Amino acid sequence: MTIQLPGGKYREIIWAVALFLLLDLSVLVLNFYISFQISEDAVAINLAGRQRMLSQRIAKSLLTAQSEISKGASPDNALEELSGTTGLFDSTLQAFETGGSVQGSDGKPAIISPVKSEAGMQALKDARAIWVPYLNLARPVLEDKSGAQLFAQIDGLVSYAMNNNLKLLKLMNQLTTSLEQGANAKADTLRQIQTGGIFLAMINFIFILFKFIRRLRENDRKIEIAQKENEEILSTVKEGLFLLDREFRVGNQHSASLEHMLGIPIIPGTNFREILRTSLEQSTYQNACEYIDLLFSDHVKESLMGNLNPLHKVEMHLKTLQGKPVKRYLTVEFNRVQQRGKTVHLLVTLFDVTNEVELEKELVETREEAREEIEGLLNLLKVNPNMLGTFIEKAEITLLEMNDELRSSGSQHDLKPLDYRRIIDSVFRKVHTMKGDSAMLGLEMFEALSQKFETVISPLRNKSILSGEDLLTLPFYIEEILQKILTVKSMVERLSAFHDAFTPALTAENLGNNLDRLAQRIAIEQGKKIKLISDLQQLEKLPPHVHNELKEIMVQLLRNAVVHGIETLDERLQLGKHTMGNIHVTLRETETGTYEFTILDDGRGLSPERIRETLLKSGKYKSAELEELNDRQILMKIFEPGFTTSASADRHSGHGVGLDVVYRKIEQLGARMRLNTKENSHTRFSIIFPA
Amino acid sequence: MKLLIVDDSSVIRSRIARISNESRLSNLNIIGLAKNGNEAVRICKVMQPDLVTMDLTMPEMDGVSCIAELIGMHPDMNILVISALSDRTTALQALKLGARGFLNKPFSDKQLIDALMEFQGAKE
Amino acid sequence: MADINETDARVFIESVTHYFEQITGHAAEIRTAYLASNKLPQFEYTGLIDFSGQFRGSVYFSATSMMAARMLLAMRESDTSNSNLLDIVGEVANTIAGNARKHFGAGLEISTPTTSFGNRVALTSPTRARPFAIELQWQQSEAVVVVDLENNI
Repeated sequence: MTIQLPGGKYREIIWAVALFLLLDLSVLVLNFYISFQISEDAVAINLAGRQRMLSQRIAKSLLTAQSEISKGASPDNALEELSGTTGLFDSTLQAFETGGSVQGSDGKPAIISPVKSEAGMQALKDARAIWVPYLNLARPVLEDKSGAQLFAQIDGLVSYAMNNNLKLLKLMNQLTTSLEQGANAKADTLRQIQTGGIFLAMINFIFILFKFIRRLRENDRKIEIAQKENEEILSTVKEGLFLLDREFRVGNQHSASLEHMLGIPIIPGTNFREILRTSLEQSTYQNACEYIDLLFSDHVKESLMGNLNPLHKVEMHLKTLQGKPVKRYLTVEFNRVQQRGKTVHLLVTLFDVTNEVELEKELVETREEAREEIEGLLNLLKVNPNMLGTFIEKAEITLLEMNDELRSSGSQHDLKPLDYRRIIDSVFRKVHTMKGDSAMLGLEMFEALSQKFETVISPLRNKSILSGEDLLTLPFYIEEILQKILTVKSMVERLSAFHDAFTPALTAENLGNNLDRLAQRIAIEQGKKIKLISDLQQLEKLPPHVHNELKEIMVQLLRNAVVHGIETLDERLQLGKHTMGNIHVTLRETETGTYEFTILDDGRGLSPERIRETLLKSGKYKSAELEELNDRQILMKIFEPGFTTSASADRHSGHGVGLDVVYRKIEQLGARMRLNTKENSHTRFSIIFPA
Repeated sequence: MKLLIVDDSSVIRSRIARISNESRLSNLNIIGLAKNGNEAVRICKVMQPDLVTMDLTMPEMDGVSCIAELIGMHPDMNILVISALSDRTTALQALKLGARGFLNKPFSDKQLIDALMEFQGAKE
Repeated sequence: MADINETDARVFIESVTHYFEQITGHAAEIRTAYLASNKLPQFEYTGLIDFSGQFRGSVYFSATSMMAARMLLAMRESDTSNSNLLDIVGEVANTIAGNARKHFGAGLEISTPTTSFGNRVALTSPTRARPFAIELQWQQSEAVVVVDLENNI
C-alpha cells in the first residue's frame, strides 16, 4: 500500500487554495500599506488645518501686541505667543515643502512627507511668497521686543499681516483641501483594491467549490461503481468468500453463496469458530482452529503449510436455508491478507465439493459392488440356468408369502390375539424348504442365508410364549434374501441381454445368406462351382431352441454336399453335366403338421460299393460282416462315428466327425431322417421333425 | 545458508542432502546430519544452522521436543518440518512451537527445492 | 453394502413403546412386523421425520384417532381437538428423532417432525422398495411405525 502523495488528482485544488491565500494576503498587505498612507495623510491634513488656525492666531497675537503697546502695557505675552505660532507655522510650512519632522498637535513630533499634489504645491508656493516678507517684517519685532522702533515696526507688520492674513488662510485652506483630496483618492483606491481582491477571492472560492464538489461527486460515483461491482461479484460467485480476522470474526462483506453453503445467515462479526465447531468432527475442528491461528502467526510460511489444512474435502454437517440438516463436503482455503508484512486478515474461500466427493465415493462403491457381483455370478455359472431361474422364482414367491402372513396378522382390525405360533411354524417350514432347495442346487449363497434365518426362528419355536416382539426380527431376514434375489435376477437378466446382444436373431434370410457364403467358400477351396438355392421361410415358425439344432444339422449336411456330393469340374464335364453344381435347401411344413428339412444336391450320389470299400479299408469291419448288410444298411454307415471317405483330412472333412454329429442332433430333436440317392444323379437328405 | 538435516531414516537424510546439493541454491552448505533430536541439539550447541529440516517421528527425541529445544536456544532459527501427514495434530503443534513450514512426505525434488528457496531470502 | 438392521429399527420402535410406558405405565405391544410394499400402512394421525447424512429416508409414527386421543387422555389432557392430536403424534416423532441421534451419532441428520392428518399419504416416495412396518397395539387401539431408511455409505 502506498500513501497518495499531495498533488495528483488534488493538484488543481491545492493550487487554487494557494492562489486564494495569496490573493487574500496581497489584499491584506495593500490594505496595510494604503491604510498606513491614509493615516499619514490624516496627520498631514491635521497639520494643514493647524496652519490655517496658526495663520489666524498670528494675526490675532499681532493685533493683541499692537493694542497692548498702544495702551502702554507690556506686549511681551502676545509677542511670545506670536513667536511660538510664527515658528510653528514656519517649521510646518517647511516640512510640507521638503518633508520632515514637526511638533504634532499632541506635542510629540510628527513626520510628514513633502506635498506632491499640484494644487498643494501651488498653495505652498503662494504661501511661501506671502510668508517670506512676513518673516522679514516679523523678525526685527520678535528680536527687539522692547526696542524703540518696536512700535513703528509692529505697525508695518500688522498692516502686512492684515493685508495677507486672509490670503494665507485661504492658501492653507487650499492645502488642506488638496491633502484631503489626496487622502480620499487613496481611500478610493483602497476600496477598489479591496473590492477587486474580494471579487477575485470569490471567483477563486467558487472555482474551488465547483471543482471540489465535482471531484467529490466523481469519487463518490467511482466508489459507488466499485461497490456495485463488488456486490455483483459477491452475489454471483459460486464460492463462499469472506475475510476473517484474528478473533475468527467474519468481515463486513461476504459472497451470497456463503449463506447457502453454511445454511445460516452471516452478518459482519459472525463467529466462524462457532460454525466450525457445530459442523465439524471434534478433532478436525481443533486442527482447523490451530491451522487458522498459525496462519495469523507470521513466523510460519504460508506456502509451506498448505498440506496441513484439515479442511480439504471435509465432511460438514450443515443445514439448508430452510433448516433441514444436510451433509456437505467442503474445501476451505485460506490466504493471508497482509499489511506491512503482518497478516491482518485471512481471505477465506469455501468450495462445495459434495458432488465431486460423492461421485468418487460412488465410483468406489460401484467398483466394490461390481466385484461382489462378479463373484456371485461366477458361482451361479456352475448352476444350470433353468434350475436357477426356477429356484429364484420359487424363493421370491415363498418369501413374499411369508411377508403376507406377517402382514395379514396385523390387518384384522378387531385386534384379536394372534396365533404367533402358527405364523412362526409356517415361516420356519418355508425357510427350511428353501434351504434344502438351495443346498441341492449348490447355491451356497442362498443356503447360507436360509441357514441364518432358520437359526433365528428355531429358538422361537421352542419358546412357550410368543409375542409380536418375536416377529420383529423376521422382516429383516426376508428383506435380506429378497435383496439377494433381486441382485441375482438383475445379473441373470444382464447376462442374457449380453448373450442376445452377440447373437443376431436367426431369420430365414440371414440363415440362407450364411449358408450360401459357407457353401461358396468351401466350393472355391475345393475347386468346384456350385449354386445354392434355399427356401427357408418356414424357419420363423419354429421355436428358437430348434433353430440352433437345425442350423448345426444344415451346416454339416451342406458341407457334406459340397465336399462329397458335388463332383469336380472335370468329372462333371465327363459326365455331361453342367459345371455348376446345384444344391437345394428347403424347409417346409407337411400336411401332417410336422416340418421337413431337405437338402438335395445333383452330385455324384452315394455309391454303396464305394462305402463298402471305405469301411473295409478302415479296418473296423471284416468283409464277411459287410457281405451280410444290404445296400440300404451300408448307406446308413455313413452316420457312424469316424466314417470318412476323404483320403486326407482338411478343414471340411476327413476328421471322421460330421454325419455322426448330425445323427445325434436328429435324435435329440426327435426327428426321423430319409435318404434318397442315385449314383451320378443326386443325394437327398430329408429330416422330418415335430414342430 | 547452513543446513542441518534431521531425520531418522538415512535414506531420507541422504536424499534431502543430495537434492539440496544439486539444487544450485546459492551458498547452501550442509553442516550436519542428525538421526534424532538429541543429535540435532548437540550439533546446534556447537554451531548455529540457518535452516533445519526436521522429521517428527524419531527415536530418542522426537521432532516436536527437538523443535521446542532448538527454538529455546535460538528463537529465530528456521525450521522446516518434513514429515508424513498421518498426524496433522502433531504437525500443527510443531508449527505452533515455532517451526516455519511443513513439507509433506513423500515429497518430490521440486517440492523440496521450492521449500528450501522459501528460506533462502531469510539469510543472505 | 451396509443396510439398516434390526437393532437400528428397534431404536425407533423402542422410542415409541417407551413413550407409552412413560406416560401410562404400560408399554405398547408389537403386534406384527412386515415389509410394506405397494401401500404403506397409515392411520389418521401421522408424525414424520426425515433423515439425511449417514442415512437417508424417513420414519413415521401413525396412530388411529382413538389411539391418539387415548394417549392425550392418559396424559390427563382432556382437550382432544385435532391440533392436540397432531401434537401428540408430533411428540412421538420427536422422541424417535432424539433417540435416533443418540443411537446413530452425529453422522445422522434429522429434520424437525412434520405432522399430517387424514388420508393424505405421509410418505409419497419411499426410499426403500419395501419399507419396514411395525404395527403396535396399545389399549385396544392401533398405531404403526414405518421405517424407510437406507444407509448412505
